Amino acid sequence: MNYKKVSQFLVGISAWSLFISCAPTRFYKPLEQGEQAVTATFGGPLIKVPNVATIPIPFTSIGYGRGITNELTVFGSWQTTSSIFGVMHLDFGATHQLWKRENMGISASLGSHFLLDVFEWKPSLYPQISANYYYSYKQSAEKNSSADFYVGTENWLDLRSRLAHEVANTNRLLWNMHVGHSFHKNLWSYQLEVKILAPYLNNDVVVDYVSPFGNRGGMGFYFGVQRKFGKK
Amino acid sequence: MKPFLSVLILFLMLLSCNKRLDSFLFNNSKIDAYLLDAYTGEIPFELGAEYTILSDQIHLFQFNIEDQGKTLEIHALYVGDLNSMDQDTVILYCHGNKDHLDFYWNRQKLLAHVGGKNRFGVLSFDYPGYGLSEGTPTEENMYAATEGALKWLKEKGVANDRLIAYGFSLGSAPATRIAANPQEFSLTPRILMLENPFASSEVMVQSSAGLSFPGSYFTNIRIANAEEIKKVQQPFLWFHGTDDTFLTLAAHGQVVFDNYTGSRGKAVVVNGATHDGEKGVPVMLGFANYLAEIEAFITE
Repeated sequence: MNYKKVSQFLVGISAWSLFISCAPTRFYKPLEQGEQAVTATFGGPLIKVPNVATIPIPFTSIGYGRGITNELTVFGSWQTTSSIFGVMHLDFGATHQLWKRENMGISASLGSHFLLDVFEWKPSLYPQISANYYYSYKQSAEKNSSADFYVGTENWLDLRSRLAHEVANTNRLLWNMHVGHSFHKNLWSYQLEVKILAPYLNNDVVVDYVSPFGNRGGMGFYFGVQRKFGKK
Repeated sequence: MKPFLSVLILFLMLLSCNKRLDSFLFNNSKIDAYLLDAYTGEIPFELGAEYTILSDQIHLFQFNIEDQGKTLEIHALYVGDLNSMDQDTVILYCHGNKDHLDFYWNRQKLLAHVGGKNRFGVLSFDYPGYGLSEGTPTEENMYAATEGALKWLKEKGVANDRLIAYGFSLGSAPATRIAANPQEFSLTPRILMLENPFASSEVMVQSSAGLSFPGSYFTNIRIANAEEIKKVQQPFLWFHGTDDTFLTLAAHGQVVFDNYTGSRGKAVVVNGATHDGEKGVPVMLGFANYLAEIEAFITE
């Protein structure tokens, strides 16, 4: 008998994926000073829906970023899917350029996810740190178009040392890695990203995650759109 | 800035649709009639002819409960002799989150062979929304239906010292609840048995999530067996399969068992057993061994 039916598996997917893998990388490359951008993202971990197909969970978010300097961008976003469950989920942070050459660079982002439910008003805060290497190239001779390839890692810190019923929390650090490609034309960017999610964690719990590591971790597919605004 | 932030937070809250996953924890299905041995749908495991129950020992009946101002008819199934219930020991079987009494019929038949055929009476019932029982399942009306079953047993002459509660999976919640809270129910079981129990809905959320967020982010259901079990003083027998990936041994059953501080606890960890089905605890342990474990614990 297959107990991984929609009922149980919704609990799991809505839980795990909603929070640790809900969106692609926000800003792997800082905006220019004064530049602003709004983003919309879609996608999530791949799961097998019994008798249907293997699909990415359709999580959505909208966000905003602003270049403080050419090396520092601050950003924030609202995880819209969480609201369906009565949970306000915001993430915010900053991306800083650590190293740059003509066509490539390395950046680091420090941020946090804040969650608050409307039922018991329980807050959660999950700091996040990530790093990215990107390589920019001209995709075609067409004016005002370019593309980036990027690869990076992100780490979530779980501040709670105890889980329910005072059980010790042994997963304080959740680690993902990702690779992505972004195509830019004029003020618009289109982003595709693949994530490998916590490949060391047992995923044989409730949900049929799809993972290149079998019963460890998961894999997510994400799509993002960004619209830049001119510098002020 | 403050007014802006306040408006923003309010706006985000108002946008919340507040969808909850509560209903998804109840995997109920409706039927037109109870067919028992004639049922051809999915069942967890097959039983041989030696486990057949004679028709004069099978009693389908109904009782009513109140649920938020409404009267619900609950369907139940007693296996045993109705005329000797004032002397018999009865096992109250609280079934899992799936389907209905037909699905669990073989489990009930199996329990009716603890210590020999029909040595103990076995009562099971469908929670609201399951099988022919009226209503929509909630945690609260599941407990109300359990109380309705206990009232029926009490009316038939069953006493606390002749009552055993057996909870499987979701059924671990009502079974533990009646053992832990004697003041809230008509009868209090002398022994509690749980097979592949929930620790709590919060553990289910956290073990699925890989993060420590509160269960309230997804569900209003509590099912706090890991806390309720602390109040249980009766002897406690716990079965759990090592290969249960739905309610894992470590995250759920072990937490419940570790929190038990009562008079006599016994853990039966079944290697290779899954949550249910053809590799479930009774099958992997072997029917004879399974029945012997239960009988030994009752009669010890």
